[in-house]
Amino acid sequence: MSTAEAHHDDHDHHGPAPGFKRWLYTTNHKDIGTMYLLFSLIMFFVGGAMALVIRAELWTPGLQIVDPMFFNSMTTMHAIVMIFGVVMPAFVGLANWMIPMMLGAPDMALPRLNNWSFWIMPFAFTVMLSTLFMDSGGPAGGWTMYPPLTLQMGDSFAFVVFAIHFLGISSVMGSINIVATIFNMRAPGMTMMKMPLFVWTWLITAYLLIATIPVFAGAVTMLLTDRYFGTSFFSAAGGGDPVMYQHIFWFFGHPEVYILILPAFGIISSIIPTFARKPLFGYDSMVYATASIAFLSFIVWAHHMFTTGMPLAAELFFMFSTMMISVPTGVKVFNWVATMWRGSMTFETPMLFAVGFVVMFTIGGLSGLMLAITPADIQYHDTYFVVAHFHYVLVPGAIFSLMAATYYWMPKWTGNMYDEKLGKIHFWVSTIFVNLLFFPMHFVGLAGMPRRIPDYSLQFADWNAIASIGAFGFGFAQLIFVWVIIKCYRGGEKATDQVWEGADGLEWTVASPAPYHTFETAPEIK
Amino acid sequence: MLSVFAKRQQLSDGSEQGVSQVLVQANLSMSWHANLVLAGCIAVVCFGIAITLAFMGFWMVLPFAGLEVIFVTCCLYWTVKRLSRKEIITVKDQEIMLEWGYNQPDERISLPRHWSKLVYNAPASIFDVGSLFLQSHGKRHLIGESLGREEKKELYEVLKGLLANKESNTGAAG
Repeated sequence: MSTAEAHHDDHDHHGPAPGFKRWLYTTNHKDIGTMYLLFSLIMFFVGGAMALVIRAELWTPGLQIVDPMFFNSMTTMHAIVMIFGVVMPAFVGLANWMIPMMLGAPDMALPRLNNWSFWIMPFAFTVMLSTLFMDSGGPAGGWTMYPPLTLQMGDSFAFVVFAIHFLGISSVMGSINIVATIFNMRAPGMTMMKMPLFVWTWLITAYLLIATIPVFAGAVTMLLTDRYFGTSFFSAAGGGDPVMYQHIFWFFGHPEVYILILPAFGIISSIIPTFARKPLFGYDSMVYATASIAFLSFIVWAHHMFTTGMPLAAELFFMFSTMMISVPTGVKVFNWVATMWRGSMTFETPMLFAVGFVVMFTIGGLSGLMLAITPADIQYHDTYFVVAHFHYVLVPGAIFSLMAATYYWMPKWTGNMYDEKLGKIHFWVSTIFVNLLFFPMHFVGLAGMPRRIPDYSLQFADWNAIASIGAFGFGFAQLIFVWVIIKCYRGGEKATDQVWEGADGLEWTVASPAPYHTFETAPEIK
Repeated sequence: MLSVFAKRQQLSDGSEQGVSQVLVQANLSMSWHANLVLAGCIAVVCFGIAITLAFMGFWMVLPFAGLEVIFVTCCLYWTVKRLSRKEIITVKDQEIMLEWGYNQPDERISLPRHWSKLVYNAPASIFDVGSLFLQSHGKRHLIGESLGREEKKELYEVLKGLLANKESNTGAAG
């Protein structure tokens, strides 16, 4: 006799552990994506608080709130936290949430590795931030850790290198997982050129990370052995070359800049067609432009170090190769504008942030072009003009794209619509204050105010005061963002499955909120 | 003769031979060979950079690049291996055969057809995918482990139908 039975209660099922253990042991891509996003939100406020310490000190000339050493620690840690603790994890969180759903895959290819790659990060940042409480203080030589200055740091140096190694391991694990998922777990019929742009940009980003992280790991390890084991890789006294550290660092560092912005391009390329109610203009050219930017990012590193001195031919090469990046970037901006052209546009919060991104990222791109010109760069180098440039790229660029993504996909994550009115208030307050914060930095930079100093000449006082007002306004505006998220999580108008009228893609075919397990049966893509 | 039960389902009936088979395999969108090419592309870039730096005296990048390339290759191998493992369930008049393997079965279990019970545990919560067993002589054999909740249930229905069909064909007493 053979029989068949169905039960609803058995001890053999694979449910998550209860309480905190669910989050500790989870291998579900949505859980891990949520953890990444929450972690980066918390770190956004940690890094933001450091920025506010900097801006409070710079509100007026003179030394008034913190001592210069702590100020330098704040500039160093602010950068490390924002790059490795906010922007990168947030993009990885979005990748975790959205890539399997966009590809029609049930989960990431390596779920346990995914769990590890997340949990390494809070550990690494605990180590890193704990150095602020050491007798010698936290790292204060800048996030680039140039020798010989960085070799004169206190005991925190070894801890920072240790933490950087762990962050690198986490990034590599995350990247490998993304690459393995994209190549091996696409639904039948989902060819490479049918993949959403967000998936494409993440694939290229993951490749950049895999290629450059060993370079960074090797560079900081050589610093460590120079400091503790008597080697002389970068010590001129022992026959080493400190300038070579800069070359090696920026060989990692410049692709890192694109690691921080390419996924943002993918997000904006998803949002604009939805609210323009038109397909993305020039999908193929977008893919090739992304790949071109990634390739060029490997051959432009020395534009960060024109002032160290290099042969004229090298200066010309790095100047022109840097300028060439504006071509594929221009293709992208053109395609976004062309997508909006004669579209049936509406301006919900994600679209507002996306349009804000296009406008303000372009401002950052244009100041980047100015910095690419070698003779001009020698004038601008290490001034607040550079600070203005990269903050325009990273804040109204990368951070705005993350906010756009949150508003865009939050109804899919929570099943509830967010408060549109509060979202729009958040956008406008953020946009006004972010420009108040960073635009004056162009002026003080062109006038010669150096970066990384806690005090400055009186002639820079007015613009610095305005920038500080902008910083506090932008910082407090983010409390609106947190409130919108909490409110949306707790309830609100129920979201439909498609959420947005013009939304297109596999992620919009599943229920809202997205079920814990999606695409267990792979869809057939026509 | 063969039921392919994967991310795509292709069913064919083999009842004329008295044997029905179900093949369970996860969706794999790229071959192992193509994965090797991918790992090779990553290795060329990583080693190209690391060897250049090593020639300039900065050899410490090389071990990190080597470790990473090994890790990437292992991860791709692991992914492909996990996704390409096949499970064949053969239902005959007197026997149910469970086979697992890649190109050839590397594990085989034979269960007496009339002393076997198909047990399906429906998902207990939204977090659960449920489970499917063939139970015989006090032992449980997990089947369709690589499948999600909907596919598991679908496999259960297919197997239930096959078992019932055989039952009526052979006229075995219940």
